[in-house]
Amino acid sequence: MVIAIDDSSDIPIYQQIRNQIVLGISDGRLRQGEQLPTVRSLAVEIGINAMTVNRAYQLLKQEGYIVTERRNGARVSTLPEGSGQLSPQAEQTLERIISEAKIAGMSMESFLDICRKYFQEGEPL
Amino acid sequence: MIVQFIFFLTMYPVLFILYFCMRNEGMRSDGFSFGIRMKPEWQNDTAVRRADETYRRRLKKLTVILAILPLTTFFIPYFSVSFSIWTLWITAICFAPAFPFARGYREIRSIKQQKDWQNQNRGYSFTEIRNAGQVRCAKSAEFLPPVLLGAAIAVYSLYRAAAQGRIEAGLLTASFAALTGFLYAVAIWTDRQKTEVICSDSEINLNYSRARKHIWKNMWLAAVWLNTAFTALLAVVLTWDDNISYILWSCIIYTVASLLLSFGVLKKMKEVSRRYSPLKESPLEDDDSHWLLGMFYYNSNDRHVLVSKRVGIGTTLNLATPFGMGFTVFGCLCLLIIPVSCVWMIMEEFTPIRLSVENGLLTAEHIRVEYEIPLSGIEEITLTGETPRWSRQNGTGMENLNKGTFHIRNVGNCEVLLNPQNQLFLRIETEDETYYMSSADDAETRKIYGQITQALP
Repeated sequence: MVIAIDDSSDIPIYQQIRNQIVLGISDGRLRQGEQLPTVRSLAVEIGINAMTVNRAYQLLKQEGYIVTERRNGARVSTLPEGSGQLSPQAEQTLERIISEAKIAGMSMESFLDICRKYFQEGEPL
Repeated sequence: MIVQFIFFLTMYPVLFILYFCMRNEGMRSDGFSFGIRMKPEWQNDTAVRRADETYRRRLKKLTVILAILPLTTFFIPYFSVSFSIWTLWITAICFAPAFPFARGYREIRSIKQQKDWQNQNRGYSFTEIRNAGQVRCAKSAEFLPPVLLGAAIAVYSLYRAAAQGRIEAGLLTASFAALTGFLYAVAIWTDRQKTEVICSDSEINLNYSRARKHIWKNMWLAAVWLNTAFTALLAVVLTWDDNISYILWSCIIYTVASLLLSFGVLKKMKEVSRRYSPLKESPLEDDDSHWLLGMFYYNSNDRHVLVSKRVGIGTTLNLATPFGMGFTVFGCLCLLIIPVSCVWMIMEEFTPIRLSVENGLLTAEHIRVEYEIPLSGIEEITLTGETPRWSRQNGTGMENLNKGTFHIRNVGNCEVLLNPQNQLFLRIETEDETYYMSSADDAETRKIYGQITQALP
């Protein structure tokens, strides 16, 4: 799976890595149980500090997207049946995006079309 | 004249190799024009094609001019002058193609800006996370035998050279063995480069990187074995037989083999690039801003020291890293040695030797005072018409100047400052050293001999 990092973005790099991995899990590029590279390997591969990757992995672990094992490194969790609800953080983000869409003069239908497009994209989990 | 032929055989082809390597850099099939990322449709634009044609024309003109220059050395009888021309020429051919290339780069950059050819992924860098850090081809087990063999040869050569009182010969062999170790380190380093991202399919990215790294590994392994073979040959020649022609011939073979090896890698890399070309997606990244003149990589957000080159094949340094910066400064300082050494060689060849006897001292001067021998310390002096067969340990060996420490087989070392073109030489024995000297001409040498013998008891 290829991840894209924007050096000039305001979003911290650890957050970008986290977002990309979540995106990979959601569209099926990363399968449940799939091994992830070690913190050091990924840091060397991207060309960033290992602490940044470690922070991203810690975040993903807290959110339950990955599990870390002492021997095997990190792997994508076998996700349990979802609650069917967004996390409070994700809801906040969605709220912000909806506000931006409103300010931009977007109709609800157009916004929902985009939501549908991304919801249907990628392989199902 | 033999040296001219050696230079001609080993260096002259480099110009044409560089020409053939550089002439396609304006329109590379892997989506780069002058080191700038381009989409195929942009490369087919008339303005871009015109810029490429102009670049090729300029490069051809430059190559023709550079091809004529070194031929003048065949008409120059002075070693230092022709050596300087060859040295400056080889430096020039390495850097000169950068000028038409830089002009081409500026033209393409301005075309790209004028036509507003922007990549949607501007500012992004892409990383393949599948098998991150695991695509490795260079295995230590393959490299260690030649490295250890080279080290063993160096140790034995140093031991034997020290026993013969010719440590310089051992050090020369050891330096080539050290080069083998350096090549091994570069092989491992090159192998640790990040996986190239050419499309969104992980398998293709991994296979592409594996194919490239495999070629690099084979090249470094061949280079390491070649260097070890050359180290062994040097050890044999320097510590068993001083025949300089063996060294010259082995240098020629070493250079030609290295060129052939580079050619082979170039061909294989092009083949891999051609094979994967249809699978490449339109430029994923748009990181042109990190490439100065399309040739030099400077990205302070990237901790990679080595990155794939955009011009030619192989890797280049990230100049924003401390190592990249340090190595570049070191390289520039090394370049300064070239003009300095040329001036020094010309001075060596054109400055006459001067011997003088004053205040009970024999003074030998060449550029500076080389030896001061108290006449009271001279045990024996002879005026001889020939010099023994010797090999240079350190110093200068030119047609009109032998200077430094020379080794006479089965006798030992002696200090030499003479013009081999002369007919008369002084052989001076002191308690610690043996000297061979001559003054500017035979009459002067005879006069000095007379002055010394008169002063001796």
